[in-house]
Amino acid sequence: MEYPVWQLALTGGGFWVALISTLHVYVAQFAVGGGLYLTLTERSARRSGSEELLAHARAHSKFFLLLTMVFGAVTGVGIWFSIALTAPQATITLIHTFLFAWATEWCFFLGEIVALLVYFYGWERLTARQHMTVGWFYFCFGWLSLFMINGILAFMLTPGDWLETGRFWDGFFNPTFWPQLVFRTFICVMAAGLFGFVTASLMRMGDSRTRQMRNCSLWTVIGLAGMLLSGWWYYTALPPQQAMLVMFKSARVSNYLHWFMMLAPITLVGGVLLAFKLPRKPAFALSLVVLLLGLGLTGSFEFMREAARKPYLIFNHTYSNSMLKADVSTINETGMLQQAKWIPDTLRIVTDENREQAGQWLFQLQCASCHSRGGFINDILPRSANYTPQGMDAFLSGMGDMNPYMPPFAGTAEERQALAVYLTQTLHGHKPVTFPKPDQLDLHIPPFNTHKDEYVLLAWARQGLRFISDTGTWTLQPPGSTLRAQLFLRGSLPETADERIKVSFAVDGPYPPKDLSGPMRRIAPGIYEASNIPAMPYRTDKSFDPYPTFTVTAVDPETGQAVASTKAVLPACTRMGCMNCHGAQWKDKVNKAGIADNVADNVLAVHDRRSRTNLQDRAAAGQVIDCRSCHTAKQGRDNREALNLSASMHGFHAPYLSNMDSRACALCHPAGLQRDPHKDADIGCVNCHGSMENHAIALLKAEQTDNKDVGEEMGRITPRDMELEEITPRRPWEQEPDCLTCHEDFGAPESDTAFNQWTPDAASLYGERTDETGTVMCAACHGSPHASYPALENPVSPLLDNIQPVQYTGEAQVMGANGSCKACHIEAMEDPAHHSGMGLE
Amino acid sequence: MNPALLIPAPSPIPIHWAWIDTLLVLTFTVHILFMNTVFGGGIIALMNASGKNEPVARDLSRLLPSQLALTINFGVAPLLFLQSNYGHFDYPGSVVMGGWWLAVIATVLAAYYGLYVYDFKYASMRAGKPLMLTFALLMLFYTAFMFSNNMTIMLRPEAWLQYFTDNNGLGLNLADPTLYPRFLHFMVGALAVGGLFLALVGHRRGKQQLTDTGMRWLTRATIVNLGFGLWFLLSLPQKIMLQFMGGHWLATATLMTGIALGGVAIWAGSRKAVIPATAVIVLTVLLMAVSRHFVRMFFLAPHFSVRDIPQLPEYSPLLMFLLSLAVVLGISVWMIVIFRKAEGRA
Repeated sequence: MEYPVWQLALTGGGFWVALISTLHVYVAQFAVGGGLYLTLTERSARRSGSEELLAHARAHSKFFLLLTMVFGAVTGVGIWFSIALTAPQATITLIHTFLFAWATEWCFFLGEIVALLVYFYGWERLTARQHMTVGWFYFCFGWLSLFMINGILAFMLTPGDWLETGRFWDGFFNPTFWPQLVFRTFICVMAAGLFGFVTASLMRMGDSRTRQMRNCSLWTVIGLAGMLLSGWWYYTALPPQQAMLVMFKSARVSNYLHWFMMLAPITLVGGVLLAFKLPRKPAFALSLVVLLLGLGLTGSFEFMREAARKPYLIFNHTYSNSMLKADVSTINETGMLQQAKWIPDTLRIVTDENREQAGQWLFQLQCASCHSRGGFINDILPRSANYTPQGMDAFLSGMGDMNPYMPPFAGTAEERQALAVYLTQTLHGHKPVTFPKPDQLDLHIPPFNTHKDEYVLLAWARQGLRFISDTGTWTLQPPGSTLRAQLFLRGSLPETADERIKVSFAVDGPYPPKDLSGPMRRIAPGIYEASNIPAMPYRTDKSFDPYPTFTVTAVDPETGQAVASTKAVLPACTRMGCMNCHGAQWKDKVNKAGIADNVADNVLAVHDRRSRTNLQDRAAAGQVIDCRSCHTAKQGRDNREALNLSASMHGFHAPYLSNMDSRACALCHPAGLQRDPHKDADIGCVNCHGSMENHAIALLKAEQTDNKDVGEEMGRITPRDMELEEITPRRPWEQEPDCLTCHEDFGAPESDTAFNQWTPDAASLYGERTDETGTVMCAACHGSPHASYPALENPVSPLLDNIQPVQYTGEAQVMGANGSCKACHIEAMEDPAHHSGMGLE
Repeated sequence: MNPALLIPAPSPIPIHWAWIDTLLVLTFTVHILFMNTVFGGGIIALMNASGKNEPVARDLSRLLPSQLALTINFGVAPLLFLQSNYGHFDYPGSVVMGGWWLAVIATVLAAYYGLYVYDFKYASMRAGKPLMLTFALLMLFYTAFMFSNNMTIMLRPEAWLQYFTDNNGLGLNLADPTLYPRFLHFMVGALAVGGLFLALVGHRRGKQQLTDTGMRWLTRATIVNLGFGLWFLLSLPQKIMLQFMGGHWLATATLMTGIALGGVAIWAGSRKAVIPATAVIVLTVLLMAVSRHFVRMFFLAPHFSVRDIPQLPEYSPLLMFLLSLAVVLGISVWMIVIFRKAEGRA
């Protein structure tokens, strides 16, 4: 990063280069083909003795001089000026690498000018033979100019062996040199025909004009046909990997290809139509239209060629933003603001005060060569509008891998965050996502009389926190919590409750009444369950509480009396982080929760673009898209094509969330999910589930064992701190980290990493297991997953996740801990019957 | 902020630097001679737009567009060689003045078309004639001033600091005291060479009126330009100025010979000796171009010497260039010769 870049907010770097070069190249190619056209037309006129044709050649030579020598020559210099201002590093590389190619091209340019001046001013002065010889020289010099420029243009797309050898000739005669030369020569022929129409159509009506219009038509048709044939050769000359990228991976290339394929036949039809005898005015008008079509055609080719080169200016060497590929690792280590020379001294280190300004300079260095700010080309405003600062930071971190047409972000994490803040906060006023502090709950713990009460009722949520998508557009995780309860008849040796006893649940507080109360099903002796409870964080008073409590009551139907009653929290949260990258808005703006309509739409739009689906159309037609209809929730044996939901979501997003700790998880999953003592010990998501990268790889590998194609996703993820082979495959929801990995024999942990050892199947999950007597479920005494006792991290109330321990033992602790056996056993116990340990040895 | 820290590292060159510097000075000399014929010729045409000297304007109007074509062409080569050895100074300077600089493309284009309109519509335009020519000359004046800015801002990294207060490319080198005498020295030089060009045309075509007018311009403009040259010399930082006053013998010898030849040109002009004056002027311009190159070296000396550029030798492309140049020049000479020989037939 040695050079400054001209900072143009409105047009971005690309606009001037694109404008000047598209026009120049068209005219310059006309200059080459037109030279041949002029000379051949003059020869034909002289041989046939046609004064009219000779007059046409003469008139055409004036038009030619004014267009090619003036406009063509000056805009050619203009391309040079504009690229030196917007991409100085790459331009200086091209100048130095091909110094004498440019110099040689200049010689031919000189020859062209002298020849054209002599030709134009020599109609009367030179003999016919001399004049035509000068014409031939003009054409030769013009074509040789093309020959030289072609080498450099082709080099940028396919530098070939030059990347290793650095030799001039390896770069010049690169893999696409010859096919592109032939291709461009045919463009020249077509351009000669198209420009020929303009002056030929103005000839006096008669045989000469008709013949000449047909000639121009022939030039157009031959040029176009040759372009298509040599275009195929050109394509096949691309190195296979690049050809794949061009044809199948790049939406931009296919967009321009679409234009090219559409304009080619229209230009052809126009060119053929002009061969028919049309009156002067309509013919002239049509010739101008066809000329513009030709500009569109060649322009779409040039854009296609440029897009095929993305994210490079010199393929595999210099990125579009002039950064050298070889420099990226150094810049990542030391920082772009340290490495770049043209940075104000005050911005070398990112601070809270200069963050936005540093971000702006980083934008100029890394983005502005392609992106304008509110301008015509690649406007950054709509492209950054959907992100929060955190989301943009994640997006930037995945650039290059996930968006192969963009260079990777180069710089430190702080610099990346500064750029993200600029792109979101400065440009759109999007603040980093923070949540309002929840109202503190005045919790009434149900009473328990250790002397009188006959029963102990334990109740817990099957999931520590249900993560809910609440959009009507698609269904990812619908509401549907599971509440479990276990009822014991107290005694020296407690018994599971009689099957006569009925257990029911009912929500506390102002929630919509529907389905939030009802009986619980007895699923095993003493064990009760209610599933699909539509617990939601939205209260009817518009307040937001992701931790609604439910009263669970056991009733003896014979007496109609409640024998036990407790409360349980059934956490449910709609703070899915999709909005971080898909729309930057919440559905419920006050409470900052829920999936807004624009977010839901954007998710589908990205899916459609990436996976070539039509979900947006289907959603617009009123269909609710059920993600799991393709991406089955669990290991997807029913769908051979799509990955299961977890593998797909984590596999796709992992490249954006790499090299982070548990903060990666919190970008999508709600905060307040983990509320157990691990949190206090700084043991977060990644300690058990692995880093985002390894987590995703484990899920993908399980899909791979089911013969699913995960190559694309896997290829983008680099395993973290371990080898790919070392990562154990894992089926989502059936295989989870095992508590006993760290708590060996239920003892104190010796490690803080449970990653890579999974429960063998669904029955072995913490939430489904029982103690060694086979009667007491782990969660009955230890609480919900991610909120195991003593779970003191609940933001609403530290008691909320410890209701039963407090109710039955008076303290937030594991049921039975610290000699609290009496809660169930009536008397103190000596043996750790449920499992070893239990604080009794 | 230390502006010297902004200087990019030079990229390697494929041949010995002296080749490139030589090509730079030679092609620049040709460029500036052509540029002088356009601008100087244009001013002289404007000054003779009416009255008995009007044929001077008509003759010039026919020549100016082609001279501009060659000016542009011969501007490309020195700019290329400059960017090879000094691009790491030229590019930052260009970016600082990016907006003004890119506008040069538009002004050259406008001047070019203006000169063609002036020529092709000469007979039909009445009052518009001098207006059109004035317009073209203003465009060229702007272009020249921007080139002077560009070539001087590259020598002063301290002027690059403007980038940090205005990075929209609207900086210029106006604070440089050498800019004004340097620019005026060039522009007045253009009037002298423009006069010589007119005299040459008159000499070849046997039109004494053209020769007389032209030689008058040569003599007077050169006398004035001695003054501007002196001002330019005195405006240089003292350390650099002293290099031309014996500090650096080659630089001193070059400049002094150039000044002496300027005197000879005044004498030849007053004697209306067209061919000797031409020879002297070409040599003078060459020596002044070399002196200008010395100025550049002296300005950059604290930061950089052309000897520092790393070299990755590869001489075969140079051979290709020299061969192409020889062929193109050979054919061009042939074309010009047959064109000139045919003058009578027109």
